[in-house]
Order: sequence, then structure tokens, then C-alpha cells
Amino acid sequence: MRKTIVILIIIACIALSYFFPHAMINPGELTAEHQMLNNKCQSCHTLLKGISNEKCISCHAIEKIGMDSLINSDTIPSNQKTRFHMHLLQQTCTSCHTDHQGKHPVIDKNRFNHEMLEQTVISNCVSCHNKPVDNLHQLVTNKCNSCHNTNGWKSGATFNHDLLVEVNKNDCNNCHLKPADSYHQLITSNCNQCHSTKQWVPSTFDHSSYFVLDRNHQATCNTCHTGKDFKVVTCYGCHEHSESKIIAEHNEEGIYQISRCASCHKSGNEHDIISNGKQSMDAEESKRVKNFQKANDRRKEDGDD
Amino acid sequence: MEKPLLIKYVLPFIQWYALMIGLAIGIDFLLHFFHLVFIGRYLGIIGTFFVVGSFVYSLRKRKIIQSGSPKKLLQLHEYLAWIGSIMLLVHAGIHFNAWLPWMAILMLLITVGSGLVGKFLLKKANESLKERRLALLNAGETKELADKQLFFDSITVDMMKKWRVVHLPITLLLSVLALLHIISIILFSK
Repeated sequence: MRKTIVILIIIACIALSYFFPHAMINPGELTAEHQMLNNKCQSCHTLLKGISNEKCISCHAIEKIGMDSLINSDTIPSNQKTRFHMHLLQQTCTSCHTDHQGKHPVIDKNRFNHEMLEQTVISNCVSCHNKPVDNLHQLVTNKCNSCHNTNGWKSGATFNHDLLVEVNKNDCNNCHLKPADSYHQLITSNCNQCHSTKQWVPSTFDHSSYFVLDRNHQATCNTCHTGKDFKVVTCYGCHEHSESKIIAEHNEEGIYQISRCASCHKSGNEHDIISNGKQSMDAEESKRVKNFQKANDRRKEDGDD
Repeated sequence: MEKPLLIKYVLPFIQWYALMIGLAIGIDFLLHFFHLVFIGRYLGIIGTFFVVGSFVYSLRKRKIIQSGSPKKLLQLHEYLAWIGSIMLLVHAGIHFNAWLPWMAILMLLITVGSGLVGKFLLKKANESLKERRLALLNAGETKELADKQLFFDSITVDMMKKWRVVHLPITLLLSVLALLHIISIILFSK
């Protein structure tokens, strides 16, 4: 009895496949444009051979793809960009196109490989792709492959500032946003004082080479840099270094050039003096600085003893 | 008090079954996420070979082939069929189109379910039921009272005993449906 039931079920399956082949094996609805081919499998499929190009091309003449419509011009609008089909080296339709994915399928663009195109078409990206409308891309040439490759728009994308045309390359803010950190918000001068177009990090700026920001000098930038030019510095921005007090102290040692404190006090320690400001001092003053430095060193040694 | 058979054996069985479906959904998600859906097509072929390979045990059991340890071949049958089923589930995806492949997948799920019943439940549950009945009788309960107390466990075991009734004919049906599916693919695809 059981065997009979099993055999009947198997016969039923085979019968269903025979009498209702479309319902049994149709893997999905055809696109809206191919609806007239419903249940006409052999319009596209050749038994044991699959889908041949010839069947596609018999309706979709390659030289006419993008030019006109097979049905009427309302359903498939003319699109010059799709004419790249003429330049395909291997015209295997199913490499990119499929069906049975519903009436309005989303074309999986990942199936498209640029290597199927002639080199002249690959080099001329804008013949198929729209140029992005953002500010940056309006400033660069159409040589997309200088930054992008055909593996993906963003994968491996590099940028060369030399590609910028008719742009003031010193005006970084034209393309870049100023970093939101408190340090950069205070800076109004141009980025290229510290950064290059090669890379943002590391910047070329090392504050220690001008003045060491030790624990006694953890002030905000505009305490010392009161103007927009960071090359101009004053030490009189804080309570410790009042101008009158500094003048009086340095005049005792015969030093009158006191506007460039960091020339001598680079380390931030008032007793650690270096005379690297030779160019800006006259010989007499330089000598006095050296004497003062020696006296200072002696005083430190005495203190150590 | 001992846990009922349902909790002791049936729930772990469901976990194995759920793991199979969960893995299939996970792999399918990853394939879609990384745009590798085409791999699903090939998983159908590989999964079929896994399942077909697992039938070596069936041939040995029916003495069509003479070599090989039946116990080891049974283990091979269980693992190959379980892994192959995961691949076939990924291959099927969640697309409700043609009836034929979906009937095959339905049969696959029933076959695996009945197979897992045989593997995980029947022997242990049967032994456990006998031990409990013996313990109750030894404790001085009458046979009627012992049967009354083990009523639901007995029903559970009786249900499980039907697994072979389902496993073999449904497997045969699955084979026929899979064969028709494969023939249709060979006929209409490259």
C-alpha cells in the first residue's frame, strides 16, 4: 500500500511537470518589456544550449541598442550612452543581462566587466558615465582614470592635486573643510603653512622646533599668537610675563632686543638660554647674551652644589 | 523530578534543525552582502554531490556494496547529508517561483527532520522511557499508574517511531523532484 502511494506521488510530480511545465520550472517573472514572451521558453532558450546571443540579437540588433525601441519609443527611451554595446569585445549578452527577476528588476552592475570593452571606450569614461556634480569634480579634468580605476569608483581611488585646473591651489578651503578641533578653528592662515598636498598627516609643523610647550606653557594658541600670522609671537599675553617686568630684568643684563623671546628662551625655561638669534642681534648684544648665559650656567652649578 | 522527554530530547533536536536553517540564512546573507550570489548556483551542484555521496550508507545497509563499516558510513551519511542540505538551502534562497524546486526543498526539509529524529531522539528516548517505567514499577507503582504517569512520554516516543515511515519515501520523492529540477536546468541553461 505504502509503495503504491509513493509511486503515485512520483507519477503525480512527473505529470505536473509535463502538463504544467511553466508553473513547475519557470524561475521567475519576465521583465515588463519581455512579457509578450511569457510561456514561450524557446523564444530565448535553445534546448541543451541555453541562451544564445543569436536569439537576443535577432530582436536587439547591437548597432541599434540605444538608438530606438523594439516596441515603441515610449517604453524604451533612446539612450546614446547604451550605444557602448557596439564596442564590446565579447558580445555575450548573459554576461550582464538576465531575466526571470520580476517585471522591474534591478540590474546587478557588478556583473559588468570593463575588460569586455575596447580600450578606447575604457579610456573615455564620460562616454558612459556622468561626471559627478560635486564641487571637486567640476574642478578636475575628464581624465577619471588618474584617480579612479575600473574595479570600483571608490576602491583604490587616489587624488593628485596637480589635476586641478583653473583653481587657486593655495585656497584649500575651496574643497576641504577646516578640521573641527579647537586648534584648527583658531587658525585663519592657509593650511600649507603646516600641511602639504601629498598628505594631511603628519603635518610638517613641529611646535618644539620654535618653542617647547612644556607644562608651564599649556596656553591656548591665541595667548601667544594674537594675530592671524602664526610667525608673530608675543610672550606678554599672560600674567607671568608683563612687558615692564621683562624689560627691567633684561636691561639689567644689557639686553634691549626683547621682542623675540623664543630666540633665546626656546625651551620655555627662563634659565635655559640659547643664543641662536645671532642674525638678529648685533655683535655687542650677542656678546652680552653669551656672558649672561655663562653667568646663568655658573649660577645653576652653584645652586646644584 | 526528571524532565519530560520533550524537553530532554526534542528541544536539542530542534536546535540542530534550527542551526541548519540559521547557517543557510547566514551564508545566503553573506553572499548577498558581498555580491557573490552566483556562488549559490554552484552550491546547488556541490550540495547535491554531498547528499548523493551520503547514500553510500544506504547502499551498504541494503548490501548492494559489501565493504565499509556500517557505523562509520552512517556517521558519514549524517554529516554529508546535513552539510549538503545547508548548501542546497542556500542554493534555493528565499525565492518563491517555480513549484518544482520548492517542492524539492520542502521534501529536503522533511527528510532532514526525519533523519535527525532517527539520529538524536528515537534510541535515547526509548531507553529513557523504559528506565522510567522500570523505576516506577520498582518504587511500588502499579503498571496502570506507571503508564498513566508516562502517558505523554509514550506518545512522544510513538510519534518518533514513525520517522522511518517518513524518511525513506520522502527521500525517494526528493530524489525524483531534484532529478526533474536538474533535467530542466540542463535543458534550458548552459
